[in-house]
Amino acid sequence: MTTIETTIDGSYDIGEVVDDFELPTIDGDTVRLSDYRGRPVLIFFTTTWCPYCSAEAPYLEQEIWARYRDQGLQVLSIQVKEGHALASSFAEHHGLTFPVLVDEDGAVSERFAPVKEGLAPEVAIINAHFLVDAGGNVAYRDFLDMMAFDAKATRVRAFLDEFLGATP
Amino acid sequence: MSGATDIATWPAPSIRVEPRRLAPGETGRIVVTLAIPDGCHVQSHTPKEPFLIPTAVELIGSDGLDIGAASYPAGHTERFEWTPVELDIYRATVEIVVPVTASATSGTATVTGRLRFQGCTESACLPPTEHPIDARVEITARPDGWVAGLRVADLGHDVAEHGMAAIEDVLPSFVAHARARGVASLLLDLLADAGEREVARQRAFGLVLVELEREPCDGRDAGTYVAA
Repeated sequence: MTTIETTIDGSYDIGEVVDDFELPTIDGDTVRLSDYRGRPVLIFFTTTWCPYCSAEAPYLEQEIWARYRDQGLQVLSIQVKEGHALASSFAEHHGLTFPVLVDEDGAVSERFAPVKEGLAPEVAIINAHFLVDAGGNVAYRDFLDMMAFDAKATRVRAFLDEFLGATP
Repeated sequence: MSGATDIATWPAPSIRVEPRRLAPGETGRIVVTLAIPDGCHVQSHTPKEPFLIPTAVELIGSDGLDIGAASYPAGHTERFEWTPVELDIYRATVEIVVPVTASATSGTATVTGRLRFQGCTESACLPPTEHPIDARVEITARPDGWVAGLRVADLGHDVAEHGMAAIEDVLPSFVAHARARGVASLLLDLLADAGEREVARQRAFGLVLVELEREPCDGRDAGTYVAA
């Protein structure tokens, strides 16, 4: 049994340019982050077995994707170290209509992960949100806070309200 | 929760075989115990949400040992403020019991398998975890008294390893077994020269004799052994 300490080192900082990445989707397509250059992209890191992710999934669909897509926001979900079949079932169960990407080996997710000593990057990144602006820079990020879990993603929504309202 | 321990990996489960020796045709049990640190939880065997990973034991016995269906404790239904769905979880200590029946006449049977579960700490949900299970069961075709004597040795071992409380559950069934066969005197013969962990064995034996209504054996009563 190992105790853990958390910092937010290791992840992208606010304002930092996000490296382009390419991942398959559950629909059999391939998505690159750069495909969306010119519009803001909200990336949500998730797994099928995480109860917090399940709790938040409907709100991502209904309160973020449905609400902000007409304002130009693209939502992407990245299934961390999951296979296509489970990721696809999860998306179907929660009625997700935005692209669901499969990061089967966790390599892309690892680059976004904060350092949690003793904890694997693919675990530390679960339930994190990153908003990448139209220029490819990190505009917002948050990581799972289980003591004050925000299932309805109200903090993200508050930021989006301001960010998209201020974006020409 | 204050005072909780945050962890990055789960402690390994403990595995014990009760009793460690079985007579042919006899049924014992394998007990898999998972001690969940304070503030943490794991999904129960019957989580209410799809995609959550149920706690499950899978065992395979070698020739000579039949594995029964595992029994799981009921989960604890808990409502978290962040989800409208109740979760069915385990906290504290979980004991999963798997019956095993000796189908051979003698020998050592092996049991291998895994315990799989997924849980969360106070700061992270850890990925699904698997712990290997590896145990051995001795099958001994001996007279009743001999088997009973070996059981006392096992009881003594458990006392030495885990304290008196470890044998409270099994003591009544053992006493009934010994009483039914009138083997108290034979037990004493078998254990008179107990070597390793002698004190613990004699202490366990003393408890057995107390339960057998202080049946004197070879001029010594149970009090002698309890005192030892």
